[in-house]
Amino acid sequence: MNAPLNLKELERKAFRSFYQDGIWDIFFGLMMFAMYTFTVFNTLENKALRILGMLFLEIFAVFFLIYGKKLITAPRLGEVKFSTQRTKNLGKIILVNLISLIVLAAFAILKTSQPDLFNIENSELYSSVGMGVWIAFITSVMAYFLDFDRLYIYALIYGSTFAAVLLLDLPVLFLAASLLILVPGGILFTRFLMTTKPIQGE
Amino acid sequence: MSPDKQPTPDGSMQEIDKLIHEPARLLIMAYLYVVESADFTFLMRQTGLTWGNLSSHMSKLEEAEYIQVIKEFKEKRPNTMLKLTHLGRRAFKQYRQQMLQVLEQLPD
Repeated sequence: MNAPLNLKELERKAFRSFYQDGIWDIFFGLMMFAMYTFTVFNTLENKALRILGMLFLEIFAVFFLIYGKKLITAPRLGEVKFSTQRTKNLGKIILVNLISLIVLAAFAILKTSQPDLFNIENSELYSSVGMGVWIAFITSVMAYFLDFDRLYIYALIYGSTFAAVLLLDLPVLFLAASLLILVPGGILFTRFLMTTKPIQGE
Repeated sequence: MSPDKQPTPDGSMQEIDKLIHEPARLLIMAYLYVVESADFTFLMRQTGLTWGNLSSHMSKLEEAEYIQVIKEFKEKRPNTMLKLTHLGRRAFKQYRQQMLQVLEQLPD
């Protein structure tokens, strides 16, 4: 009998049960779809409009995540405060994302201010693959801290899609990737709504 | 059964806290041990107990001062959160130790 291990597993199982609603999946799918709309609106002359289109979808995804968890998941699975370690992990995710943004911004600034540095053979290939690997890595770190296994697959999809779109200039890949995440997310979400009814008792 | 009782040197089953030893209550205590606090719905989903069953076990655990019931309002709706008291946490730890001791002493 390994009691400490069982308790750890019990906590982990309870924590992971909150991923069965598919809401995180839809969130990541919508984020990818926002990238697609940005590239589609790329033809528009009004730059503000194409950024607004993407921002609108991203804000919608964040609202869907927050209010979906609050209004759909909580009445069905209940409310729970997990250990402080779990809460600390959320802080680490924010930190990882901030670092990621800083690195990407530094890269963009360097590429604009010092174009000679990137004037090497196959530079486009290296920067595309590098960007893909970086995005996959950051998303995998998020998957680790969120203890969310499906996010490792999404990390691969995110990374390879970004690399491919940059390299091949095929924005439609963003749409394909978003559907690859949104469809299973939608199925999970529908199944959750159908099988897990809110509990009336209090 | 006092939760402060120490296990006997021979790890006697008589020293086991029978309030926790009941399977449903053991599961409730285990869940509350691994989280900070949780509501009734969460415990019902995780343990598979009915509302009435859970409520009855909760009353017993509350009577023994193993759990604390926190009644609060969330957006004008009543919400009851449950958490282990220090006494409950200590009792559960002790129960685990005693059970390990008892099981280890069983012949192969």
